[in-house]
Amino acid sequence: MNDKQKLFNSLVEAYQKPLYRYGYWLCGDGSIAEDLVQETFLRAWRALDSLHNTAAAKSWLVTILRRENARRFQRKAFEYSDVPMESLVDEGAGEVYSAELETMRIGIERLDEKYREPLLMQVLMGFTQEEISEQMEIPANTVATRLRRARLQLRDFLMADEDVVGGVK
Amino acid sequence: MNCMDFRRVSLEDPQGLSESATIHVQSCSACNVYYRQLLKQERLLERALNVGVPEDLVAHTLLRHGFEQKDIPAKTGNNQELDSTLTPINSSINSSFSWRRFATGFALVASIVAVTIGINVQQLSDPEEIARMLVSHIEEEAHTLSARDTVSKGRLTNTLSNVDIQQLAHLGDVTFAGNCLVDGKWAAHLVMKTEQGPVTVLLMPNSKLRSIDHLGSGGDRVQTVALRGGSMALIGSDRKELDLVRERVVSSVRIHHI
Repeated sequence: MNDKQKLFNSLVEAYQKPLYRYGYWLCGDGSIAEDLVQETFLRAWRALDSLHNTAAAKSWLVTILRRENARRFQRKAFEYSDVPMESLVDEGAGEVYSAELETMRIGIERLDEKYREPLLMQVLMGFTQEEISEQMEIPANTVATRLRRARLQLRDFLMADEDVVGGVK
Repeated sequence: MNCMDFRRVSLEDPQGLSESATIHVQSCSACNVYYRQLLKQERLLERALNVGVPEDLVAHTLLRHGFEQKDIPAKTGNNQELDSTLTPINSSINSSFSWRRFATGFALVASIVAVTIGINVQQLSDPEEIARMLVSHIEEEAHTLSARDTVSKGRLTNTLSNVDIQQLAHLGDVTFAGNCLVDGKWAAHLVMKTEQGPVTVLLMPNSKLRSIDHLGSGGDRVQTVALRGGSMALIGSDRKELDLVRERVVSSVRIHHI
């Protein structure tokens, strides 16, 4: 196995999970998320020679996945809200049922994409606000505002749903 | 910092509070309550986002990549080893083929690919060779030793979860946390602050290194520990500190797979 193949396999091993989850919350569908991840890695393989710094691999892969997701919209219009709600809460294999967890998932799904995506980058991918700013090509203070609003909207949604988080004020 | 500022910055990154925000939340009871509730919401958010990942995603991805190599000659032109495991597959497969249906039917081939990749991982056995490889890695990433501030909980959790490691208890003062390649396999690279200087911890769930305790000529002490899943390496200068860090890490993390 050559070095390029080893690096590719390592990238797949390391990032398939966060990328799948990121893709899942972008499109709201497990099958599409799986295709997005596979397409992302195929494109990554073709351009792997351009990756000179493995520390930048995560940002690089997220960029590819976001572009791939945008291409999907070009090919076929897809509304996130069209996804049946049950498909969003049925993915946690073996997970104990939790009403508040399901409420949170619905809340995430209802967030506008401009608020949801910075949150995904921060919580799922561990990006800093500066990294999110670069990735989304928006000012850092806009990122901060969107992160704040995302969490406030989730809080309001949870509180409206029978105060499941215990009255966050 | 006043209460309004604290609430603003805590909503932006609940797990990455600045020093002034930390001082404020420790001294303001109202913000303390607010922050604890925000962290509760954040934990729920993390759990909600962590949806299950299909177990065969890696196999499918590598298999599809294998087909790509058959259909489009690779730029490097040196992928015969991977291709040789795929010879039963009809080379006339084209892009319009229903991939998902096809991949399911060839799960066995995918598992062969995965096994082949596993066998090809080079196993180091000489303690000096292992120590040299690990010290060389640290030297390449020397900047990790100069960090002074403790990393956020989110950064640490993310670094560990990227390699399927769960943190069960507080690890101590971690001043660097990142994922990197060690001997071609992904690892969690942590640097912990101790009284005798920084100790590097490499958690390698994908590598099986034999246990060693090696003192290098440069004064670097390297310990490796075979874990239930993978291996852990510790690199530092003081044996006592290495022992303390090793015990703390072993009792504070859990490796999910392997």
